[in-house]
Amino acid sequence: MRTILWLVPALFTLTAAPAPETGREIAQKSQAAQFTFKTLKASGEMTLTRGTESIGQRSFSVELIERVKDAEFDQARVVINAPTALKDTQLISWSSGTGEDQQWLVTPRTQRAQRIADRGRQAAFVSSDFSYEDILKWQVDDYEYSRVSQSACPSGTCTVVEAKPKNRYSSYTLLKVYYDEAYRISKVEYFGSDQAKPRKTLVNSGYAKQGASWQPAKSVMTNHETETSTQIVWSGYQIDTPIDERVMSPSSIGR
Amino acid sequence: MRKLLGGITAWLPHAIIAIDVAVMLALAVQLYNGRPIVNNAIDIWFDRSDPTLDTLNQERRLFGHDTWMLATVWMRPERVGEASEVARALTEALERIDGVTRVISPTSLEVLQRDAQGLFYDELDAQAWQPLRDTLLRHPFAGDFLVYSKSPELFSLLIKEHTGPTTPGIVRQRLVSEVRRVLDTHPAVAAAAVAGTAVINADLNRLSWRDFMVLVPTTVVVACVMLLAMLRFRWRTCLAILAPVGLTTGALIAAMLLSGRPFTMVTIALPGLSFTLGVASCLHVTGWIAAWLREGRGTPAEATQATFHQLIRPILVSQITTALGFGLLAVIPVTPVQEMALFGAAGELLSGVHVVFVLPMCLLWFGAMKELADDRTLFVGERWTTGVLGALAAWLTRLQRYRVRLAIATVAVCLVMGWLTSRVRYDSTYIHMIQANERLRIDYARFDAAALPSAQLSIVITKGNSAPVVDAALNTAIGAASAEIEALPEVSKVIGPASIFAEVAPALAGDQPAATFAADDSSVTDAYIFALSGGNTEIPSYVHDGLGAYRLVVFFPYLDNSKLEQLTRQEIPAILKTHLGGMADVSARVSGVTVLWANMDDTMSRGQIASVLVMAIACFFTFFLSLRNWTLAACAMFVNVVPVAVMSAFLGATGHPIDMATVFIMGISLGIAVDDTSFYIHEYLDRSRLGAGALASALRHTGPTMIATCVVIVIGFSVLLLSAFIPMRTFGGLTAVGLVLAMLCDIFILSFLLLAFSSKANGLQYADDTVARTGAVHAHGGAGS
Repeated sequence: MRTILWLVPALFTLTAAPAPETGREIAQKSQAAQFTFKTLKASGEMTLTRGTESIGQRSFSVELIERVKDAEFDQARVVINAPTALKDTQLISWSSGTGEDQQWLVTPRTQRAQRIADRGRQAAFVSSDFSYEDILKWQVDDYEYSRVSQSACPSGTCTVVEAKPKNRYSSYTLLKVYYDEAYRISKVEYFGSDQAKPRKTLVNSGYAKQGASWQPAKSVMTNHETETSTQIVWSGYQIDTPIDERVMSPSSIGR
Repeated sequence: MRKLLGGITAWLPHAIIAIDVAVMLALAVQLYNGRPIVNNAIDIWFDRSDPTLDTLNQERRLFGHDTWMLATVWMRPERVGEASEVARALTEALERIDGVTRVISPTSLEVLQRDAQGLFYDELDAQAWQPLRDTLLRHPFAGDFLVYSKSPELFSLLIKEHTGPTTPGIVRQRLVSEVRRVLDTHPAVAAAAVAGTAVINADLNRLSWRDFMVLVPTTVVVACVMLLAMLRFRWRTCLAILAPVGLTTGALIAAMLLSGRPFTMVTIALPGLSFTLGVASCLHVTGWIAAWLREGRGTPAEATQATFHQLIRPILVSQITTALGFGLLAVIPVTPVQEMALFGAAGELLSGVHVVFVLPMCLLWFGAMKELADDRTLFVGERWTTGVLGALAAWLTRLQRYRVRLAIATVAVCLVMGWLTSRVRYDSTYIHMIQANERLRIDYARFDAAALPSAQLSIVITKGNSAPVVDAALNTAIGAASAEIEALPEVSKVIGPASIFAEVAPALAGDQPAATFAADDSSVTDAYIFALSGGNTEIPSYVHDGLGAYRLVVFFPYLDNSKLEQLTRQEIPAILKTHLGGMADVSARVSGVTVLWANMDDTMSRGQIASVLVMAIACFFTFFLSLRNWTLAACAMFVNVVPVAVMSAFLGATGHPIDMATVFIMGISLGIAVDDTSFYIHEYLDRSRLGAGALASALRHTGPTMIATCVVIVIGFSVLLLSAFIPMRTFGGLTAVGLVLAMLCDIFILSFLLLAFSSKANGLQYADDTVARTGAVHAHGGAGS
């Protein structure tokens, strides 16, 4: 979960940590590596697919401002550029280690900022397979961790960490996160009430170093229930370029 | 030339058999690899020239290929209070079924809500049924669709699945049976019903498969037993007849399946038809060979060439006209009808080739020639029949005195039949085709009794300009049109942009008056964008991404095709014209499988009329080319049209509609009936040298064969009465009746007309011509006469 924002800044750790590490430690290392920047900008081309049939295209840009202190909100803004009808629709997300996450959807023409309540975060974002919950930045304290085992993953052999969401409104009961040797997130399996079969699976691939961090070139979220998938092809990474903080504030929009 | 023909008749049977066997072996390999045998998907029934098909394809491109099942659950009276738990449990269980993408139920519907933090789309909180139901009744989507104000004991579920025309039948059947199992087995559920295209598809495939497994073997067994009995248990002759007939049928089925055309509800009858008609044609030729041998006109080895020389003309006439009877139905641009038409025609021609070339050789190979030349009559009851037919000929000769009065009576009867025929109506309403005790019919009856929707159609509204803004006026018009359509007495519910806007607009408008909000392009556009971006997972089914296309889905109780046509061609278009007609660059078109199905009726009726008319004309010209006599050709055509006219008059009088299966009755009956007529006229003309005794001689000679073939065909068609499809039963029954009528018309009316219109000179000219060309020593009369 919390995909778009935490899969953009990927892991950075150079060598595999000596065993035994707890799940939480792995998550922390992954987090530390992912967000070793002050700001990040990137573009994404999203393709919605059912079977082999493309059912929609979206293009968007992402801006992140990373805060050092846990109590401060990390801020992110997703702006839709295409299709034309959705152009300039914005999603502003604030997340912190305190669990007080907030999200606003800003509609483009009237510039109304509608706050999305916690309970609404399981909903699909712009009809994709990513939910609002997936888009929020991963905060280590939002989960309870346990380390499971080593297991095969798309990038070879990964360490699998189980993470249970603390948020009562989360639509997931369990996440299995597959970290590769460099603590990059190779795969995430999202489980609902049925823990025998994942509801969704995210696979990241094509990692490349952007500044001090690894960033994926492609992310594919597959919804096994609806048999649809959403692919994001990432490009245009910019690290530590200035971002006007006012655009991250819903109160400043349209006022 | 004769040597060349002799060579051809010698090697051709071997070549034909080799090709048949090769094609059947190829099919066996394909079947082993899992090629489908039966496909009755509704999608194959569309009229491909119907412009609605383009709209349907556009609708699928814009809004996805998901198809929907509507399920309704009636709670046990004492457990109505548990309905919300039941809905939750059923939703979970249904969503676990392979092929189901989503289930929208009272407990899974994402409703726009507001709490202290803000807006959110989510399921309603788990709560008792009554408050949940009250909330949903006020919801623009769920009210009187998932829950019903008048029926607190029931609720509905919209099951989205993605089976399509390419989905194997077995997969669809498994999906539907799983859905039914989940709904039926919950202890709190008193009854459940499921409707939808996938359900109809699955049940039709299941029933077709059952038909295939029952009808084909039964027809073969019944025809074989009848043949053996009719031929007085001459088993070698039976085997010799069954071999070419079996090869023809096997090769035809193999060719059809190998060409990627699985059996449909109509072509399922083709193997039986081909087998029965093949047996009938073989009996004609076998009867002729038996007479030829008994008259001592040659050795059994010479019978093969003699058959080719002397029967090629009547066989050509009968096979070509029967093939035309099938083939002309190809003018109807509905795939299964065309498959039946073309493969039926091909089967007839193939049968002709087998009858002329393979049958005589088989009679020789199986040692049947001895059986045919023995002292016994060929058919059971032949001696008695020939006596009756002789007396009949004498009576018909006496009846010539009243020919004028009879002609007047005939004209009067024809006028009455014409009037009754004009009352024939066409109706291919799917549900009427299935027996009342089938689960599908029971479910639809439940929907009807509760006045619940069980069918749907769509209205696709597109905007010509690509401006990414929802025009507030268009939005208002869509809302007004939706409301007016929903107010139609036939319609239960309209879901679409109007329901989405009705849910979002009040939440976004805040303090702004609703009318002001709805009149502002930006506000309206943002309302849709909020729904689209904010978590309404249903919106892509009704509003296209680009905000340039909208879909209204109209739900209604199952309507017969005439009412559906009224709804889709008059009422809805009138409403759309009123509200959207004046808007520039906006088009609104009715779409959906049910609409295409209703439109198909028109195509079939037009095609039916055209095919029967062309068939009658073709029949006339084929006879003319064969007989070279206008009057006799007209007589032959008349006696073959009469049974068809009687059947259509019967349908008109009883109000029984013609549908996709019974549409074949007239053309095919006409084609088959020509068989007897052709052999009979040629036999009569052959014997016209006998003068006054010609009719009696021809009747005694061909009459028993005509009766025997009629018995075999009628019993073969009667097997269709076992079909699970009502139209197939009607087809079998009426065609059997039509063929009996055709035989009676040949014996009575044609005999009378031959006496009245064929001059001695005509007959002699024909006989002389035949003798001159074929080298026949004399017109055959002998043993049978």
